[in-house]
Amino acid sequence: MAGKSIPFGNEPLEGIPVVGKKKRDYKVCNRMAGGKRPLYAITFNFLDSRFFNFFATAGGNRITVYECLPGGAVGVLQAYVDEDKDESFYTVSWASDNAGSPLLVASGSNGVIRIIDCSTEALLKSLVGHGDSVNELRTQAMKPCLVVSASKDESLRIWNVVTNVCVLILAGAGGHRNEVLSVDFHPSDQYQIASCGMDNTIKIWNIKDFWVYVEKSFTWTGSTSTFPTKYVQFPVFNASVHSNYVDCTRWLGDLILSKSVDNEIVLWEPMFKEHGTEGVVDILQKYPVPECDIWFIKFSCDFAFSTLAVGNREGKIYVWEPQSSPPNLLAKLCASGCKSPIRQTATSYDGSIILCCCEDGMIWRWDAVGPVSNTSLLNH
Amino acid sequence: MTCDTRIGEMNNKLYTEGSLKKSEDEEVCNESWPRKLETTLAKLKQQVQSTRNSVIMDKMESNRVKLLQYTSRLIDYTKRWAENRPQESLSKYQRVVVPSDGADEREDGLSTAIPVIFSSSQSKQNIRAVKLALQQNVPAYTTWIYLDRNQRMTEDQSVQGRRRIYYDPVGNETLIASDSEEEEIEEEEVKHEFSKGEDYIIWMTVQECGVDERVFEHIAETLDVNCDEVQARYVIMATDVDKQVKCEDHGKGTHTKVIISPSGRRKVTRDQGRMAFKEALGGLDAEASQKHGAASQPGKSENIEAKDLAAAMDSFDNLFCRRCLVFDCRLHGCSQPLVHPSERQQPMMTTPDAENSEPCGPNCYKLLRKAPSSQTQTSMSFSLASSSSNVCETSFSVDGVEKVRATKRRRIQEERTSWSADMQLDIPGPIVPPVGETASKEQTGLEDACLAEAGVELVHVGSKTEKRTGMAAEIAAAVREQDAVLASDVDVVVLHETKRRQKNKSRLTPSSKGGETTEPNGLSKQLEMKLKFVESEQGEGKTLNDDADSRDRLSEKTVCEISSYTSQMLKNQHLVPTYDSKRNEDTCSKDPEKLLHQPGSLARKLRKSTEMLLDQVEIDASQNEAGSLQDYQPQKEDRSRSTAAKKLARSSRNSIVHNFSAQHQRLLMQMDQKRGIEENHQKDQQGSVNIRVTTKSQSLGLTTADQSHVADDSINVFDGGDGVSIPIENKKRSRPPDTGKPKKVERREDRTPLKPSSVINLSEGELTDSHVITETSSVDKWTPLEKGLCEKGLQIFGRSSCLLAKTMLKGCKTCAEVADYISAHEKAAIRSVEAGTSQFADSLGCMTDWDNEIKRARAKFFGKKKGSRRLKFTLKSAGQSAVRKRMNNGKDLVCRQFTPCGCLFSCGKQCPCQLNGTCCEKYCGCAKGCKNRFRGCHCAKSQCCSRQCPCFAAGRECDPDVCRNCWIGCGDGNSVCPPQREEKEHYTCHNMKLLLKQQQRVLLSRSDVAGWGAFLKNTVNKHEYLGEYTGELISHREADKRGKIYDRENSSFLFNLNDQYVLDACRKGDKLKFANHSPNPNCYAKVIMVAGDHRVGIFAKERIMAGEELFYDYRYEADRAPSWAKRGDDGGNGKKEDTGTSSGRGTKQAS
Repeated sequence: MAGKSIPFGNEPLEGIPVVGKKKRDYKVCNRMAGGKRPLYAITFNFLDSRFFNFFATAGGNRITVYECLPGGAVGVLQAYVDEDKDESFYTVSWASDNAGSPLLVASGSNGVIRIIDCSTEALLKSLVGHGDSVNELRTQAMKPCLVVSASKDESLRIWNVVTNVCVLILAGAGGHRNEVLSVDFHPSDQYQIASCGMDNTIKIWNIKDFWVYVEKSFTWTGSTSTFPTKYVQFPVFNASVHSNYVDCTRWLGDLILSKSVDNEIVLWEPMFKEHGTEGVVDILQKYPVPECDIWFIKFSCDFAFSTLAVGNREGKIYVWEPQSSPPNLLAKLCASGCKSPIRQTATSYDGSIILCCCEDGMIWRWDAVGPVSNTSLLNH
Repeated sequence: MTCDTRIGEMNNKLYTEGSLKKSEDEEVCNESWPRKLETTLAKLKQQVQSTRNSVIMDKMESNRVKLLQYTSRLIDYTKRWAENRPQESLSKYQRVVVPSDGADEREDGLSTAIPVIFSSSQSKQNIRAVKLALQQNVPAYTTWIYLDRNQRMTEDQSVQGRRRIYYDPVGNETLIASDSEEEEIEEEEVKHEFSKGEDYIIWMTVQECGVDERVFEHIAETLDVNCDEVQARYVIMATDVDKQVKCEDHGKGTHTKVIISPSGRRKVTRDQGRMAFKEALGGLDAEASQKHGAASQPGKSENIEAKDLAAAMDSFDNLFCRRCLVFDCRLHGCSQPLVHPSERQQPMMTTPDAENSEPCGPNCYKLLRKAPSSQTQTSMSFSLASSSSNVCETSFSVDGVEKVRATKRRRIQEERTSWSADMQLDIPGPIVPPVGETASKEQTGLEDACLAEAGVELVHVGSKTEKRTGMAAEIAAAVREQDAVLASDVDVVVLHETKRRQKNKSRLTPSSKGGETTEPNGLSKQLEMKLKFVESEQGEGKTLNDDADSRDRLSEKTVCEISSYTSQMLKNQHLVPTYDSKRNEDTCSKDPEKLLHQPGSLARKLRKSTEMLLDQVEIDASQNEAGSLQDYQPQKEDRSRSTAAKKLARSSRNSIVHNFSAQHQRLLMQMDQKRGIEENHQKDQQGSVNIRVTTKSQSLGLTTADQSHVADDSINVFDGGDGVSIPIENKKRSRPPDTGKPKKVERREDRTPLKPSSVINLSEGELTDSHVITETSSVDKWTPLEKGLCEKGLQIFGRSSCLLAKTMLKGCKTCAEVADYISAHEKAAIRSVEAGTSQFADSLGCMTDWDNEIKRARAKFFGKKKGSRRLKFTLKSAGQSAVRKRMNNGKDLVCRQFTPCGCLFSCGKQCPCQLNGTCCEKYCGCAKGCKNRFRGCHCAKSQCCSRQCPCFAAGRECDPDVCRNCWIGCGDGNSVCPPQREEKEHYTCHNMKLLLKQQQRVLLSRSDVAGWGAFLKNTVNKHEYLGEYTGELISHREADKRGKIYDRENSSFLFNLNDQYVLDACRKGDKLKFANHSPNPNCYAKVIMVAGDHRVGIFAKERIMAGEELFYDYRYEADRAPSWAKRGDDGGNGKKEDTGTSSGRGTKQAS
């Protein structure tokens, strides 16, 4: 609904950026300088229950693996440095091979996707193909060897990091018309991918028709360059929810959370039509995030999507409860030393730990005071 | 708005004046209104809001449930490895622990206590970092992604706020690389889309407060919408509700689901649009469809059927690229102007009459036709067939020794025999009682055209059975006349008839009586056949006359005929080329197999037939000519039928044969015949055979021409397939044009009384009328779409109703229905043509005046050029002045973009091609004879790779469609090339490599000079084609825009293509774009016209060894060239990515 006012009767429920009755207290437990260069990405490992406490950061030419230790301590486990000093990693994601060894997939301004095996501390492969820098990498949770990359070259590529093939290229006639900034796999529907970028649109792709190629990629033994990489030229849904760069998008069930530079995160429902991709969206809720008007600020959720943490330009973190209606602000985190823009946050498996990485290269760890009541996780 | 309210108030006042009591009420209302309105509005708003909130909550809740399922599944998933290898952890790599510092409690101490993990100074805390080896990414332009921004650039404004700004370091000029020139996007007045909530508020408020201006105003204010829109919306809702109510009343609300919803309005407008469209259709069709529409909202499929074909084909017409033969072609864009070629292609199939094949199904027209014939009839016809076959054989035996002839004969015979088996099918039941009985009946019957036809039929039968009992001569004459009339030119025939009539009175009409009996069965389809028979009779009559030494008359006739024909047109010479092709076919069809087929029986038959012939000659001599004529009729029939069979056999070749109007061909043939007669007259047996054959073909031509000018293949095939006429053709050619003839013609014209037109028209009118009447009922049931499909099918497949029903109208119409429709249409066409209108004829894809015109034009053209044939090709193929200039003046002239013209026939001075300075191409509408056409080359041995080849010289690739010897062979070449070219089988054109994509393998690697370079895999010779320089096709304006940026990056892939386009290989291109510049290059680029498009080929300038890097001279304009490409610059390094800026846009040019 870019530029258009939302018609009467379709207004979203808008949260108030004031901590409400139902709240959670966090306190700073740790902070460390990950380097002098800005950190752009931080992410927990949600793929493997053994590694739920591990997280990785990326910034400059360095990728670092940490472990959250009880009591607020943080263990530094591994560090990887790109020999190219000009490389600037923008994104990192966990993946896994079939045997369950944790992989790190990272990429940045060079557009080369690095695959690192953390169990052996070895660079497994560097995937080339993107014509420009890669802005985000995400892993398919059900098939942890499938990674999607969003690039400045206006394309998305789906890779198989075990067989090292580029399976699909999501770009073309219906594709993005500018840099792709963010991408996310649907939590359960392995065919659906949401992407957004500088062309102000959010596109939903369905790779069901191309799934044979994905299947093929699992067993591909030949040369990676001979793999029949296919173009997916048309998304199934094309939404203009924002009127500016859309720099982060995440699925919340079948709904989509997306963020532009308008000081808010928007939750909306894609209304698929039978014909045409120009979809209608129903904006359900809004989560205001004050002072969040620069692009490339990414938010994160915990495993069960009951906690959403987003940083802002001034180093504050807003913790929302995304599934409550109307939206409920759980906490507002601010520390005196944290003043530079928070590029990305990471929320731990149960939401009890919130990490953030800042433009100034700092990593902050916030721990919840008291137990975190998480209904969805309690069931297990 | 205020004005409106005032008017409203005034109205109110007027109203109150009218009735006092009401005015009081009104006033009360008026006072309480604002409050009431506000409260209701507020109430409603709240309602809407709360429902909305509850909706959101519901959605969130249901989503939460779903999400829970998802995550719970995922949790299980994450545990799968933990179960297998629970101990394994990354902790073994742990090296540094950063302890918790409780930072938030010590505000001031924070800054000192920050542990820095990777700082060089605190070496203790450093952990060893694993190095990630350097990995070069692929160069940006090798991984271009598909971008069609180029095409959409002008109209697509969906990208907002995207603009690249470059600052020119030299001129401080700001370069803006936005997607469009216009900086501001004009804000359109967007129509407000009403949401459900708004609808609800409007509806409920109006329900509560009544319909009033002020109410609407108030609503508009609260909703922040234009008042008029609110009102309009209310009206729509009201009507929708009305409809809904109605639907409910009727108890079937199935067609229109009217709900108060935003979609409701859209639906209404769409319906309106549809109605408007239907109205626009006009005529019956529209009415019919409107009926559909009015009755109820019909299903979509019905609506499509109600459309006519043109509307249904709209997207095809607009989106299909006729040059690339694909939809939505990117090269030429969509919505190209529709260029209809003047020369239509021949339909694929032969006439159904000729088909020996099995009936296509239970509803096949063949079966229907067969049904009425009784057993006796069949037996009769069979005997007839056999007798006639004998006759036929005799006739064949007459002709001479020549082997070619013999083979032909055999073939014909064979086919004829096969036909005779079919004879029962073709000869309808009515023939059976042929014995002349009631003359009076016949006369009455004659009035009915159908009867007349039947009569004709019977005439044959009668003649066959040799029942020459005296009959009413007038009837016969009338029959003949009718035929003659149908044969639109006819004078001659009529003349013939009249002459014959005098002599044949006694004999002619045994059959007409049968007319009535036949009538019930008289299928319209057979009409044509019958006519053919009659005509063949006539033709036969002529030949017989010859044989019977009635030379005087013959000469008279011939002259007379010639006169009529020549007066009509001079085109015969024109037809010559086509005959060539036909001859080829014939030679083809002379398969050795056929010769082998009936050796023994053939010999026997030949003997028999010679005897028979002798007998008949005697008879002829003794009797008068007309009598003999009658005898020969069956024979003729047979032959015509056999040719029909031939047709079928050759249907595969038909497509090659060009459309020639049956009329013309007939004329030609008659001419030939006449000549043949004159030449071979003196008992030259060969000649006589030829004559007969031609008469046959002529008669066929006549029939077809008569029969509605249908451009069926039957006609064309006949003409094309009739190999027999060829010898004559040869003679004609070998002989110099007869100058004496025209004189005769003139003389004759004086003498010959013109046909009795009144009679003709009358009878003809009757004929068509009757047929139309019989068939209107069936035709009525055809929807416009079906009609359109059928007509299209006629153009494509010809009159094969089986095929039409099977392919185009499957499930809609049966074969028999199609056949009926076709014949009905043909009748209609005859009428319309005779009446002077050719619409129907045109719609049926038949030969029209139009084609005549083409031919006339071509005749002129050829006439002029006659005698200088050799020269013609060389000179003509040089094309128009512009091209010639280009050839002569050298290469610096920029090519002109070609756009096909839509000229009909030949192009005049106003032809856009001519104005633009380009040649006409095969994509133009103009006929092949257009003077502006590039005529291709005629090279024999040069292999089209030197300037001797006109195509090569004109900077064009040869086109197999245009050039004479440049065809694309595959395999042995036999299947592809027409046999005529067989002798040149080994000729291969070397000037079609771009078209055929026969490029060399090019490799990409780091250049020895700069950046990337293109290398050759195999050794090639001088002037060898290496590959094509491809890229985005952009306009010069766009190129200027891009060029500024490219020049700044000092890496430009622009290539000047022609006056309209520039190739940009930056984002899209092939490997050859990496070939670097060099002042001493080993390659050169050349813009070549390939099938109407300019393309860039890279050629070897010298012999290049395998693995060598390719260079070519970019030929930048001197003032714009970057420093590395400056002329006279030191050679060696052709650096593309060098430093230094250039002032303008550098675009490569062809050398």
